[in-house]
Amino acid sequence: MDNRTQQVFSLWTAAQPAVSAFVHALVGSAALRDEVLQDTAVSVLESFGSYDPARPFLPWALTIARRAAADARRRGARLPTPLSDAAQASLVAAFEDSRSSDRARLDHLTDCIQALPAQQREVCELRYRSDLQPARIAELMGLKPNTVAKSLQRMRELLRDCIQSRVRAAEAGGAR
Amino acid sequence: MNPDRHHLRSLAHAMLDGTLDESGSELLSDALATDPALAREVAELALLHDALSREHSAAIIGRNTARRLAAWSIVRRACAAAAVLAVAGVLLWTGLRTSPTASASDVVARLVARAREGDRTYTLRAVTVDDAGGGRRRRDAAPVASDADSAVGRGKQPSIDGAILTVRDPDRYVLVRTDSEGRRVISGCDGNRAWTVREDGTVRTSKDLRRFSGAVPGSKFDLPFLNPGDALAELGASYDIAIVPAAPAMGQPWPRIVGTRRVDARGGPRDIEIAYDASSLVIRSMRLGNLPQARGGPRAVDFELRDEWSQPDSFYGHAAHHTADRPIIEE
Repeated sequence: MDNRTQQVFSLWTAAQPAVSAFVHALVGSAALRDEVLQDTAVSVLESFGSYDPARPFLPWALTIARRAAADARRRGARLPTPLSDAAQASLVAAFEDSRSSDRARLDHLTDCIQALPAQQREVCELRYRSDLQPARIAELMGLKPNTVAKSLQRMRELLRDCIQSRVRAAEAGGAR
Repeated sequence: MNPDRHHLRSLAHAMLDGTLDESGSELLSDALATDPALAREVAELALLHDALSREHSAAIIGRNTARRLAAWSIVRRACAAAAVLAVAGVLLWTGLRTSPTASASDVVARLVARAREGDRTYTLRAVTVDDAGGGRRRRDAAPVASDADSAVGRGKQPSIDGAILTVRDPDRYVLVRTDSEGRRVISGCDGNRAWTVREDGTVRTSKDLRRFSGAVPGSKFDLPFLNPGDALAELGASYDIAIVPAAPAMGQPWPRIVGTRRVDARGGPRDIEIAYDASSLVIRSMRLGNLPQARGGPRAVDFELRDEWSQPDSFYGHAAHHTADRPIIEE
């Protein structure tokens, strides 16, 4: 593997979780995320010659991801209503600000999923294991779509709170 | 009126679930563009959302890897979803012979071993909304052209919506489509040669049996009509499958095999649904649902049984579908 290839793989590996999260937010489903992410990775590799190493890599990769998502939309992919360009740019900046330590907090995710109440865990499974949209989950569980949407929001809030409390506990333990 | 933070958070969750409508998108866009703290919050939420997806994906990959390593190579595992589309093709060929109480895996096992017989003709419908009860259909849902299909088409591709597909195992099919100007485009294979006939053009033939199969739903994901055993075996590996009993009161007169693609299987339809008649033992309908959308094409394709009339062998050859004076190009 030559130096340039090593460099791009190293940068891409570090950036990939944020790029994946950004793309997932734009396209709404894991299946589409994977397709757009693949297109993004190819574009990053192909255009790496134009990347300025003096500048941060993540915003450059996120810009390519924005274009890949827009290309998918132009090709006829059924994507959710898009955010404005200004909003997407603001999100790019926010991802750039997120530190790797923020992403490391997600190490607590597995334990926190296990701690979810049974119904929240079921909604979580259907949404993420099967990549189902709320309307389909509602159909399967005999609930209203709006109820499922609220349940998904509640489930993610519970997970966020659980992760934060575990991080705090770990930090307190480390300080002693 | 400025939306409150609570409402904006709900909109952010709706965005992640793909349910954000136009007005919600405008509100959220305006807020994100001017509020870096909100953008940071949404970015963290998006990281959690994506990590959840990967967490569940990783669990399944781990489970399936253990199950499959004995039988399948890593390469074949990576191609599982593409291969499972072959199941769709095979099911059209084979018909289904099973008791109503058989388990889904029993059904699959029988399909693997099942001798194929007879001709079946299906009407294809392109569906824009994945709603088994009342999907809206569209008339302009032409599939993305494959390389092979591009050679056939000139201008706008003929639609698969309303197309008629007749199949016989092994390797025989005839697909009749209509283009935007009402002209018929017929493609098929007689087991030895693939061919395509345009109403106003030449006849093309090829020894590559899959040369003109690009228009058949699923073929762009490598739907092979040539190696059904492997593909059937992949059904259980790539999809979570179950049998759903008939529910006439709910508009479901036939029992169904319902398959949901596992997260580690890539590239095929997310859902497969096969309705079969337990007494006459044939597939009544099939849906390839939630097809990959990154390159366009319909959201879902329905196959509805039209008839089981036997066709003469010559029906699967190109000569049955054009006059004798048409020029023939052998590729």
